[in-house]
Amino acid sequence: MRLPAGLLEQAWHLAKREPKRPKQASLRRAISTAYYALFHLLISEAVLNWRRAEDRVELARMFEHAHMRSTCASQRDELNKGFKTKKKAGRPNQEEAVKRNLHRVVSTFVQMHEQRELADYDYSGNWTRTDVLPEVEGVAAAFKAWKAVRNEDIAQAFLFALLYRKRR
Amino acid sequence: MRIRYTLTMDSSGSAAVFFRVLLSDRASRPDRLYETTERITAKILEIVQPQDRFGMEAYFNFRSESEQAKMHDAYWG
Repeated sequence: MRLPAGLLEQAWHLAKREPKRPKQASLRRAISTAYYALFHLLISEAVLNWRRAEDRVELARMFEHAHMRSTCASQRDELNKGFKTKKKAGRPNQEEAVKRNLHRVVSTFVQMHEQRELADYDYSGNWTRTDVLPEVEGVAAAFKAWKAVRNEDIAQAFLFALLYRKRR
Repeated sequence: MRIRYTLTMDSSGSAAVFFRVLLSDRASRPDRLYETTERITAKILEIVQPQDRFGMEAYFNFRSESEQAKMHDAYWG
């Protein structure tokens, strides 16, 4: 957990630097770093399931941004469907609270994946602190949400899906 | 508050709507900024339903009035 937490801390630092006139470089790197904090959080959690610790470094290299993003989007859409059914069915319960936390993690990943693309590669717009601070805070909230659900079956199945690709 | 949007593709090639929300300086105070952006995001998603109605991903960016006044950014104007 050291790298993800360290990256999140660094994202905060970058987002708050230069209080009067923040540099575009600092704001863009804050977005990118916040995304990577969440990216590495999920990978570090997933590889913990591999029993041979010495193989985890190699395993971590097998995760791909685009596949992780599409897995998160699919998981989010599936959860959204369930929430709609549940809304009609009745009161929220513990199971729904778990799903809400997982929803926060996956929807934040999708949002941050896109924001990171813009921050790293798109020169057309300028970033402001008002834009960047809530994005970093969103990742911090996703960290908390993950901590609350990381041992749940649905969260563990999601981690597996981040790596697994169905055969065609 | 003023909301603008652009319909385009996102980096994954999916149809997407990018919302640009201009906030009052009061609403964008650091101590309430996250809560404000969360509330606005949820409300827009609830009203527009970009995924259910249009099959689109939705992304959100925010800016304060005073930031926009300094930047004179036509895209946000």
